[in-house]
Amino acid sequence: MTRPDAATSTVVRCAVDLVHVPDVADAVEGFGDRYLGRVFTATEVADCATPSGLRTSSLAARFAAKEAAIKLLRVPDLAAPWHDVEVVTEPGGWPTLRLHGRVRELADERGLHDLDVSLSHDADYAVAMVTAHQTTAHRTTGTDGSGSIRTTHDET
Amino acid sequence: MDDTIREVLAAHGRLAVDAASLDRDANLYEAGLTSHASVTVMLALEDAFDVEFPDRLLTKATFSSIAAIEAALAEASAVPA
Repeated sequence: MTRPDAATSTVVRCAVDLVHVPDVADAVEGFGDRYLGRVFTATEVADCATPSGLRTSSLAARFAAKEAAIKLLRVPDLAAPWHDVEVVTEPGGWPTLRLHGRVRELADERGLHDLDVSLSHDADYAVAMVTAHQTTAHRTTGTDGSGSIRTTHDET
Repeated sequence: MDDTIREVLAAHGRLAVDAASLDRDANLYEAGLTSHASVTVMLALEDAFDVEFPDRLLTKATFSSIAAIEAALAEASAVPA
């Protein structure tokens, strides 16, 4: 039975992805800026730069975050939206996720909001976990049998 | 084209099986291709065939089999398969 006031429901969604760090190191070495430019934003590359070169473990974690975010969308065979998912390092040092373009649109269409990301790496592997709240509108039936859809996606 | 694709897969695909003996329609993801490896395969294919994959072709389906890659390369280079 549906409660009269249950026009929407919000659930927590999560997705993870794991990346082999040496594969990223090989890609950087083998394809250089073509690889970096195709997959990462300039901000992401800058965030992974050190005086001695790029931290490939951090790049790998960011690739994992992109894949995890795309998993959250549950869109079959989405065309390469790597730049549409961006990991940004905040001044405090923690990562946040910014969505752009088609991925932003798809997330909005699916009621996904309040995305968060956590990155970790150790030796050969990097992992990312992305969480989001998903608010879904329910069809409610009035006493006259008419149906309506209410969304409170933007309400607080 | 088929042989070159297999060579690229052997070098960059991180497959768990021998790329040379794969069936043209065998699922490459089931053979061990990861999302990240598909990126390096894509870049290596661009080098090998002097093409650039447009974004619309950069899907999982494009790299799902040797036959699918060959079709995508033909589309990317505007040459009939």
